[in-house]
Formats: sequence, structure tokens, C-alpha cells
Amino acid sequence: MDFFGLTDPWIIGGYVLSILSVVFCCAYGLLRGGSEGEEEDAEDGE
Amino acid sequence: MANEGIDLTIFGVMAAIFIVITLFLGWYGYKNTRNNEEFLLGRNKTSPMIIALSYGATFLSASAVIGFGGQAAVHGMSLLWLCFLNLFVGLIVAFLIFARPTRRKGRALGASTFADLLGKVYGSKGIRAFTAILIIVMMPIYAAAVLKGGVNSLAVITGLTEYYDYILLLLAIIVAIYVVYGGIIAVMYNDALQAGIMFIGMAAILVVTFVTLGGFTNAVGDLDGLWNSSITDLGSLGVLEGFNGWTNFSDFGSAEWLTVVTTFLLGVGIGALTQPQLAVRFMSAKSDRDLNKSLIIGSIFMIVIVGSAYTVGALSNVYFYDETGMTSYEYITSIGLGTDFIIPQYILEVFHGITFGDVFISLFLLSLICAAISTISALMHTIGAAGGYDLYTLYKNRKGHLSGDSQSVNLNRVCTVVIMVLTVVYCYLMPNDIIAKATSVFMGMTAAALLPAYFHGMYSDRPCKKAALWSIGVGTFVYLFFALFINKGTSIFLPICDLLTGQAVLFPDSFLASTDALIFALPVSIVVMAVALAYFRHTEKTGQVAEPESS
Repeated sequence: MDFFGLTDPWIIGGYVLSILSVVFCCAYGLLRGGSEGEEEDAEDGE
Repeated sequence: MANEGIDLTIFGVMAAIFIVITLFLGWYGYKNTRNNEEFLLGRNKTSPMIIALSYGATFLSASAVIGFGGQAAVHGMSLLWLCFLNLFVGLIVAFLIFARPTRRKGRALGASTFADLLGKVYGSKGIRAFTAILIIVMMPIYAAAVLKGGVNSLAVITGLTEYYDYILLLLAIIVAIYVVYGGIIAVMYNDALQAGIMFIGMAAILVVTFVTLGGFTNAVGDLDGLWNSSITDLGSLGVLEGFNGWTNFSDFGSAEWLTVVTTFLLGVGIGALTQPQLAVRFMSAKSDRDLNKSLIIGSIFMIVIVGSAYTVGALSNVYFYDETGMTSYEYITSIGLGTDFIIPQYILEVFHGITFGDVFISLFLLSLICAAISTISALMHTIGAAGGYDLYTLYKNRKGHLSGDSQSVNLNRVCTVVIMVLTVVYCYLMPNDIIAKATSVFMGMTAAALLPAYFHGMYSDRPCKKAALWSIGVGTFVYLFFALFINKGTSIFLPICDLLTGQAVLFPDSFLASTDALIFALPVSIVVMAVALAYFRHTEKTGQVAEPESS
């Protein structure tokens, strides 16, 4: 296995998991950062 | 290290502009702080970007860049797992599991600080007082460590070591001015400014490294080749038995593996979940939607800062070997400096002679200052609130002078000034090794004492105060016992074991002596919470406990 010159799966795993975490955060933020906020604030009594 | 690569005029101009903007944002915070809640939470002026950048800049102090970047130069790319843990624990777990209930419960209960939140969730003045006292006693030492570390790096890199006292006082005064007057709004807006500078600085360093070394793949190939061809003596590299080169993970269970995994990887992540200054960022958000959105910018910010630092740290070996015939660790020790100076020295040398190199070096120094003061300002604000809001409220409630929470902004300001003075005094009184260990103890103790109670409090409709008190009490006791009697790294912080038994720790030759106290204390704290919860729920059902949970 060769990933941009890296061959140790543990090191590759560190990079891949870091990138996947960012992808997950961005996807979650985009999908869940939509329209629910106004209702939540109303629920909270704002 | 010398200041030969630094144009102090360029740096001076950039620093002056930075100070002016910082003070302006302090004034902006002051103008928008009309009451105590705005001083403590500033919900009126937050946005997803401000929350994300403020959280990220507070989370990552200068040590994340130069401290762990230097460790990556020594121990290699295995430090990328720390980057992943920062993202996974510090962002994903923190935001998906803790942020939403923290914000909602905080708002519903009218809580303005972390101690206030825990106290109100459990209806316990004792839990609020314990959390506030823990913050006031231990956090100034942590703040002193960050301040001293940042100033020390800056003074050495610029060659202005004879002005150490002035730099320290100047930074402390600037932070104190904007925190005291502008409250959390000034803190968060300045965090965002500082995060932007850090982002640009680290991205530039990453790009220049790739260009200098012929791209990532080429640089990794060279780093791999360096290990395979030239290395015979592990000791000269600053690593332990089991090290397999900078592009490979060390042998499982080896001394090198234990050092990297238990010291760098496990020791860092968990403590972040119970950091009061980070929990307040969740409470400052206007809505869950804002928290979700802030994950986007927060994650990109974090991977650029720490991912760049650790990748550049490891690849610096290729650069130094090409230039000097020595690895990063060999080179930095040959010029009489420690691991913390590998990244700064690399930046001084790699930017030297390239177009706009002086500007980028100055930008890096400014990034370093930003990383330090963004953390210090958040700590100052948190400690000031623990004294001027939490403890003062409890005192006034006890005396019967006040039924609700204190609304005095000025008292928070006075407390923040006192704490800043105390922090500066700490910088002079405490030796470096004690400060570093005290920081570790603070992080570990907050996690061991508060994490199970925090989690239960956020997710239970009927939080059990007695179970929380048992978990907090036992977690604190077990942590302190292991920190003072078992772990040889932290036992010298307060040598009680030595006084009682004549030896530093109870089992000096055991693996226990080098295992972090948190590894034992947190599981115990969790088990106690679960068992106590089951017991008190059961006794409630069977009618043996008649009294209500909240007091």
C-alpha cells in the first residue's frame, strides 16, 4: 500500500482519519446547520 | 537560535497593528457589554464563525504548534494520531455529545459559567463551589505555563531575551485590558482575529515546506530514505527502543510506543471535554444550528493548524539533514536548544532568503503570540468569573444578602485583574517543570472529577446529586492519590509520599510509576457514578430515600 509515499498503515490511518473527521464535520455542519435553529430558540424561550 | 533571520522593524510594525486592532476589539466588546450575562456569555454578538474560531484558538495554545510540532520532529508522523484525536475528541465528541445539551440546559437554567451550570443542573451549591475553587486554585498555574512558555519562545526567537520581563508584562497588560473591559465578546472576537493569523501563518509554512522539499510524496520518500540509510544510534535522535523511523509507527508495547501513546495521545484528548473555558463557548451559541455550523470552520481550522505543525515537524528532518547533515533533534541540541525550538528554528532557516521571507517569519512569530494569548485570555475570563460570579454569588447567598446570582460586572473585572497579577507572579515563582506538571494535573483532575457528572447532568431528566457527589469525590481522591503516590512524574509536584515513606512513589520500579493518574481515576469515577446512580435510583423506588434530589 502506498499513500503519497507513505507505506505504514498506521501513519496512513492517522492522515485518513484526520481528513475523514474534517469531511464528517463539514457534512454534518452543512446538513444540520439548516433551518432548525429558529424553532430551537423559540423552544428555549427566546 | 539567533535573531539573524528576523527583521525586527517588520515584526514591530506588524505587532503594533495587531495591538491596535486587539485594543479596538476590546473597546468593541466594552460597548456591547451592557450586563453581566453579556460579560460572561455574550450571546448577543456570537455567530458560527466566531464560536468556531474562538473554540479552536482557545483549544490550541502555542504548545500545540511548537511543543507538539517539535515532538513530531523527534517521534515522527505517529503524532498525526494526535491530530485525529484533537479533531475526534475535541470537536466531534465535544460538539455532538456535549455542546447541544450544554447550551440548552445552560439557557434553560440561566447558567452563565461551567460551575454555575453544574451547580444548577444538580441543584447543588457544593458542586458549584468545588468546580469554581478547582478553577481558581489550579487554572492560574495553567495560565502561567502558557504565558511563560509563549514569552520564553518569543524572547529566544527574536533574540530579545534581555527584554523578557518587558515582553511578559506587555502581553499580560494587553490581555488584561481587553478581557477586563470587553468581557467574553472581546475575548471571542480577538480569538477569531488570532485564529485567522494562526491559520494564514501555518498554511504558509506548510506550502513553503512542500515547495522546498519537492512536494509531500517526494519529502516522505526522502524522510523514509534518511531512516533507512543513515541512522544507527537511537539515543542521538531523542527516541527510545522500538522507534521505526519518522514515517512508521513504533513497535507495539515498546518504550517508544508507550511514550507516544500514553503521554502524547491519551493524555491530551480527554481533558479537553471538561475544560470550563471551552464549555462556555457552547453556552455562548445562539442556537444548535450555530453550533452545527461552527463544526465546518472549526474542523478546517484545526486540521490546518495541527496537521501542518505535525507534518512540517516530521519533514523538518529532511531539510536539516540536507542543510547540516544532522536530524532535527541532533541539530537543535547541537546549538544548545530543546525540542520546543525545532519548529521556530526551521521556520527561521527555511524562510531566510526567500521573497517576503521576513514577512512570513514575522507572521509566524505573531501566530505564536496569538496562540498563547487566545488561550490566556479565555483562562483569565473563566477564572475571573469563577471568583467574581460563582464564589461571590455563593457567599452572598449564604449570608442571605442575595437570593439569585450576582449581577456585578465590575466584580468580575476586579477578579480578572487580581488573577492576571497572580498569574504574572506565578511566572516568576514557579520553576518550568512544576508548572508543566501542574497543568497536566489540572487537566487530569477536571476530567477525573467532573466528566461523569457532567455527562450525567447533561443527559438525565432527573440528575442524581448524590451519585454526582460520590463520583466527584472519589474521582478527585483517586486522581490525587495516583498523582501524588504512584506516578513519579506528578509526585514531585507535592512530595507527600517522599515525606511519609522516604521514597518518591510507592512502586518506583513498576509500570504504574510511569502511567498517567487519569488512566486509573477516570474509569473509577465512571464506575462509581454508575454504581451510585443504580443504588440511589433503586432506593428511591423502594422508598428508602424520602428526601428530594435537589436542595
